[in-house]
Amino acid sequence: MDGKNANPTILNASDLPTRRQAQQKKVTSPLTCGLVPAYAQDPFVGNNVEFSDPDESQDDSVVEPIDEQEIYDLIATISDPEHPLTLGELAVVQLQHIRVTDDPSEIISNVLVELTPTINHCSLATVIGLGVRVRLEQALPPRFRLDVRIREGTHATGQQVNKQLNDKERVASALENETLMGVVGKMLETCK
Amino acid sequence: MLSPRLYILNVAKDPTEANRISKESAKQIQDKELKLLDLVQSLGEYLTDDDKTTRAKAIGYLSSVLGYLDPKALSRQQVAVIAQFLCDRLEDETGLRETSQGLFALQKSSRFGREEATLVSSAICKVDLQKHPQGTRFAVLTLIDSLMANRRDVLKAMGGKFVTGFTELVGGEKDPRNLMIVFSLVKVILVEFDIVPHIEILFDAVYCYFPITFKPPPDDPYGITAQDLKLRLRECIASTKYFAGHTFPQLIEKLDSTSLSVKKDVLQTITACALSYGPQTISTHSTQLWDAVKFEVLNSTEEDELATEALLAIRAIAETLSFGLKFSAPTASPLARYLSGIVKECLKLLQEPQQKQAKPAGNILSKSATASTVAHLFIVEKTMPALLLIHGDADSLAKQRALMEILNMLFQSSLQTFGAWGDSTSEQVHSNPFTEYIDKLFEMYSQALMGSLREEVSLRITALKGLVLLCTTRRLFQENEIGMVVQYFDQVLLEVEEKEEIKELALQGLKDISKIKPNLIMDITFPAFMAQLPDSEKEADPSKPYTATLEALAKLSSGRAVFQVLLTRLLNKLDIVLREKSGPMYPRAILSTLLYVLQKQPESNQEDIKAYFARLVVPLLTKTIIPMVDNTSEFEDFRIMANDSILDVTGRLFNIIIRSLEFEEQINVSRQLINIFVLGIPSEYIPRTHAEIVARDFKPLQQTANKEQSGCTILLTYALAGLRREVVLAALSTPELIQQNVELATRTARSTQRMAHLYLIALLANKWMKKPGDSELLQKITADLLESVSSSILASREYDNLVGQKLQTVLWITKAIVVRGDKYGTEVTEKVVTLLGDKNYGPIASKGFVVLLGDDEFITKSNYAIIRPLTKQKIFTFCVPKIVEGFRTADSTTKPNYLVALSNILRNMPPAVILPELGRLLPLLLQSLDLPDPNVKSATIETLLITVTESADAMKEHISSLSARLLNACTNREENPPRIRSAALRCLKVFPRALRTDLLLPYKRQVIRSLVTALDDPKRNVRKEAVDCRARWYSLDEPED
Amino acid sequence: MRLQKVTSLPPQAERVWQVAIHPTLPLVATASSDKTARVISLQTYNSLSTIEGGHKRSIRSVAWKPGLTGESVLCTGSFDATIGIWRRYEHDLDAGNGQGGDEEEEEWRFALVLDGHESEVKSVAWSAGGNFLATCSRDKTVWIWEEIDEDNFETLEVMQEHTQDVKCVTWHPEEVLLASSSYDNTIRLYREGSEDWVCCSLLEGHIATVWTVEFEKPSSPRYREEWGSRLASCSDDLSIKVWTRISRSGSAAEAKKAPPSILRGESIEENWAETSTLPQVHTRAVYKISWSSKSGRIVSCGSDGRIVVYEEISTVDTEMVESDERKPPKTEWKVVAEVGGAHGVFEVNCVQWSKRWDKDTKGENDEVIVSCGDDGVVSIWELANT
Repeated sequence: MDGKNANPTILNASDLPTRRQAQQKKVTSPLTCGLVPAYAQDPFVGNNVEFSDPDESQDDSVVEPIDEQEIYDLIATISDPEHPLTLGELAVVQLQHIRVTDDPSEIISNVLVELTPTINHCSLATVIGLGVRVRLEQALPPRFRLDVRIREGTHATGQQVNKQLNDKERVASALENETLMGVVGKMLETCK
Repeated sequence: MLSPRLYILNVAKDPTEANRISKESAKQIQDKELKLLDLVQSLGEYLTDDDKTTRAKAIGYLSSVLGYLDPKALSRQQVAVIAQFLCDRLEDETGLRETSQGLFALQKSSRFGREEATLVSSAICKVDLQKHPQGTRFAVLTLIDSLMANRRDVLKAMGGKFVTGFTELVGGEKDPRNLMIVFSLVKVILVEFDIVPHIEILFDAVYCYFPITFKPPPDDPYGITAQDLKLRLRECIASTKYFAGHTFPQLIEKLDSTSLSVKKDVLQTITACALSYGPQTISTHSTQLWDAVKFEVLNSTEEDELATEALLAIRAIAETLSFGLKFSAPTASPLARYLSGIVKECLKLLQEPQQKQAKPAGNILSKSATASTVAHLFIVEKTMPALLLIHGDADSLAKQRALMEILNMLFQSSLQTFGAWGDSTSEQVHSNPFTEYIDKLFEMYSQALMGSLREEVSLRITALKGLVLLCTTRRLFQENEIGMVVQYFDQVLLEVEEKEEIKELALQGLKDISKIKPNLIMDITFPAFMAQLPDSEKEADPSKPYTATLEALAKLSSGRAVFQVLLTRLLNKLDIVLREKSGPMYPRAILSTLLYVLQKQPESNQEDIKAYFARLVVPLLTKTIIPMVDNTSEFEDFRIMANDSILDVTGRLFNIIIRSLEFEEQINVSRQLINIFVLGIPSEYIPRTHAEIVARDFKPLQQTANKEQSGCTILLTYALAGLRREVVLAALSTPELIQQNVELATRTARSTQRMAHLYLIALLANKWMKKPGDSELLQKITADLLESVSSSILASREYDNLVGQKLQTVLWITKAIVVRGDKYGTEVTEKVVTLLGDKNYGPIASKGFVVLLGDDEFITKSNYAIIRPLTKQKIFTFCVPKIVEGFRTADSTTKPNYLVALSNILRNMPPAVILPELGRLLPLLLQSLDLPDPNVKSATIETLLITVTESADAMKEHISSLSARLLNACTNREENPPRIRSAALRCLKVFPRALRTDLLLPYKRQVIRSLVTALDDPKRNVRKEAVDCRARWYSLDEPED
Repeated sequence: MRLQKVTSLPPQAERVWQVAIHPTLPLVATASSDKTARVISLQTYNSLSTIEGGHKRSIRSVAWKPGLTGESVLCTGSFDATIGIWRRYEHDLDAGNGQGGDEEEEEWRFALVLDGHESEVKSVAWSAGGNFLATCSRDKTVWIWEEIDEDNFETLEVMQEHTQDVKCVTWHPEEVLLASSSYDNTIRLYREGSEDWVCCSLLEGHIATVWTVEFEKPSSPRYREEWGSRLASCSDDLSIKVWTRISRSGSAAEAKKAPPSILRGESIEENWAETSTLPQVHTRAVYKISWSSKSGRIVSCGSDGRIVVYEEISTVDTEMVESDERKPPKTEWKVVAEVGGAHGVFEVNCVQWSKRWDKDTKGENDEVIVSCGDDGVVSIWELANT
């Protein structure tokens, strides 16, 4: 077992759950878009509300909490170190295996990510886990505590990998290791 | 005889002189004044000279003379002698170049016969070429090249002697220019000569150059690229099947190379050989090649160059093996054997269609299935049953989908092989092998598209794409099946719940089908859609909003015939809707639909658009106006047409149609409209029944006009906008009309109203200042307006709205004349700049720059407005220094006005114009970031964004202050709305790519630290930007200390 | 009681891993991920000096060499696998001239670097007398160095008893007894044997990485002569345990002063037992504990951002008396104070008891807790009644 999987199962990108496209595609009827009436274009009045569509995303009172989907979108586009495919496409990262506990009344919140390696002796599980960790440490506010683990029974040496991935000292010194960070950097390049 | 000496003396230092001399001698020979033989004689002394170069030069003289001789000048026997003479000289190494040039000249002679050719060729082959400089080698090769061209028979006759001799001669050639000749010569030999005995040496002679790794030197005088060499060499290698035994093993070996370009070269060469070596040869190597090449595909990923090449190779083999097979591939045939191997292997991989190698396998099948019709038949026949089985057993939709992706690839190959409906290409004799699976496939795909959950987007998209392929493939689906598909697509389009993604594809599908079966769209889609439209807003079913339906209709109606139908149906619908006492939304939507289609019409269809004047403009006009003057119940329901939002669309329809009318037509239109709107004269556009009343009671431009009537002004504005400026506005004084509108614009309380008048003023001021004195009058009007502003300032009165309105009017007039380069415009602009310093009217002036520089829909080229090039730039260069200066001296209350003005200018300026000024502007820009106004902020940030990307240098010394402000902008939520925070982050994000790392490193930690706040922003989009921005800054790598 | 913050020093780096209190002077040293160590006055809470340039990666651990006057020697252990020794002359700081520029001038001199470890050094510790230095690393080894003369260190022993990273080493306050804790979930004790250093005890009981171990100080009010040494440990398994020495070869009295030579030939083994588990308050890994030499209280901190203070309940359980007398008493502990979010949302990496030196000091026994966290902040806490 060389710990590599030459022919993994691939999920279709458009099947992956993501909030991103939803955000990109704002549905505006082509009939009326670009049809702001002449009278609504008075520079001295400023944007006429009636025709500049009221946008909830501009209202700070509507708080959009950090949720599982957001975590997923952050890490699903990380690419696998051995395939030119993303962790999402390889189902290494799955939405239902992410749990966020973010209670405003608590000082500290938690993110639990469980990874599913493509094969149960995947030699790169640790690197992948580290990649996910680094991505989240850079992308989440510090009040979040991260637990990145290999999903129960999906990896031969899951226990060791978990212990490593969640050992503060080991992670810290891994982050200072250029070669390792080189690999991780490559993985994160594809992040969207 | 002097000439030899003179030539020898001159040739080095003065070649032209030398040429003249030899030319002279040549002439003498032709004029019989000089005997060639004497000339040769006279060379004697030099030919024995100890100095090599002298000897060479002597021959050079002879050669050059020969070069100038007429082909017929020499006698049979002269040629023989000279040939012999020169061949003897060949031993003299030093003269080789000149000698070959001589022979080159000689063999052009008409009397140069077989003997001479043989003599020369064999002599040349004896030369030890490679120890000579490339120039000399070139001369020799050119000689052989022309012998090959003119005396090929002789060379052939020499047989092995020449072949071996030549290969020896050129062995070890390195110079690209020479190699180009060698390769083309070799190719001739390989193709035409009897080479069977010499395969070995020839192959070695050629293949030793593979792969070409040559890089042309920067100063390469001949401009020969590696690609040129690759192609020539490839032609050689591919030119004889006798090489096959050597080529393929060697190439396959080279496939292990790590260099991409080498592998690519190898694959392309394999393809070339596969296509030219012929079926027998290929049949013996096909399996071996497949086994070698397949990995390039199977281990590949999307858009992999090598994979594409490999596929071409696999296909090429099938193509060659198909040679001579008319109807089918018998099991014993090489093609069958080759393909069965492929099919077997691919099907194995397709058992798990979701796995990585399934798609490549599908590619292989579909690509090979395009090699020939026979190949296509074979593959479809051999794979379909298995594929259908896999689909049947698939335990998940994802798996089914993956399998259908593969099927789609095969459909694609079928489309390629059998063509689409109505293709000009000739029909196939064979019937499409998919025909026997039609029912199964139709059912499978219909089920997937219409029978599965709406959420199964990708499955349904796959099905949809497959159906389009099946519909378009010639003679595959029956009309009724295609009809069904059309209905599916209609349903998808009409369903609100459907995702945009799939709707777009369905629409595209319908468009594709409408190309091949327009009737189906007209007969099925149209009625279906029209039926969806409710008769009134009230009975509209919210689950299927009419907007969606109208949208789909609009998008489908680009075709001429279709639009005709649409127009009629929608106008009828409009009447019905109005009769049902509708609100403004629905009628507006209907009109917008027509407008949308008209706007999408290509230039070519202007003719059609004209035709709609009578059918659209006039009816709409009367529908709108008559109810205002006729209170009888009959017109009651049409009153809604006077609603501002409807009027605007109606106006746009007027504009776009009138625009495309001929000059003469426009004249009439202008006359009629002015009669109706301004002069109150009965117009032929109004039905007799009402012409009079309209003339009497419809007075939109009177102070006394009621809301509805004055509201109609916008129609006139839009209409006039569409007129050519050459169209004289009969019986009108433009200045008066302007003055009249100025009054209206400044007095009216309704901004809707004001805009209509202001645009009208601008149009008149730009297009119709014709009569002498017009401009003066306009200046007078403007001056008066300005006067009331300045007097109010002098009297330091409170802010007065009327005065504000006047200033706004001034700005519109200014815009209109500035763009046509009117000097007075610049004067006014200057005034406006000074007004920035006033606390009451400064803010209006600052917003005014949006009017001056912004784009509006009226003063445009397509509306025949006079727009001088570069006016924007002029204003920019004129204003900016003044604004910068003004800002410096302004007090804190008015400073913002200057910043707002600046941001409004920049927002409307192409970066190219801004960049040179940046050094000067940056300080102000930075300060604008401290203003509360979000619009100013975002404008500024946008500019900075450009600045950082376009001219990083200008940024250098501002990095710290700028990054500090941006960080504040994206973290301080009280002052900055989400869009500003995002913008700030976007700007900060471009730093790392745009600016030198060493300049940024000092701020790296600070930025990354501060961004933590943005990571916890309440808004998802902001967080996203923050993450991306932070990632960029993280990627700035510190130097390892 | 209540933990209240006395002050916080402004953040100095992304992360401060550890703080070490000077044995005699009012100084605390920090080990930070920005590759520096800083020295802060415990009188004025001003940052006095910075040690930098010696290490290529994070400094994970610092330790003051005890038993010196007029000079301070600081040992730094880094992820770059090396150990640095630094020297600096100390003026009389008791004179209260803690603040002021003159210390700023005081330069730290880089004395020498000790290398030999194959990977990150995780912890360094000086023996009570200062003549031994222990270091441990991810390379699974524990090294013992002896300073044979100034700036000349000799490797006495390299011990690879643990099967995984060694996270922490600590010396017994009086005996020549070394303890180490590890990623392999165990604690090991070492003593100098006849020829070489040997592991004399293995403490098992934690079910995850044991982050730190610390001996009880004899000066502690709860120190029991009859039972002798106790050791506290904290772990990734969220628990804090106290271990007591039951027996050892060679009587305690003897071993105390006797030089190793006397023990030659005698096999050395010790027998330790878990005698308490502190109440579990932490909800994530417990990174560090500190055992007060003045009050006998234990303070702990960890990933959940909490700082917790525990006190031993002074009930001597009766059944203990009649039962086998070699069995040490199990004792109960209670939580006396707790603060959450001690370093905001960040993890707290280290807490240390220290004698109180600042102007508000009440008496000789007044103490403060010095803490540090991922926010790079160093905070000072006092334990207030009410």
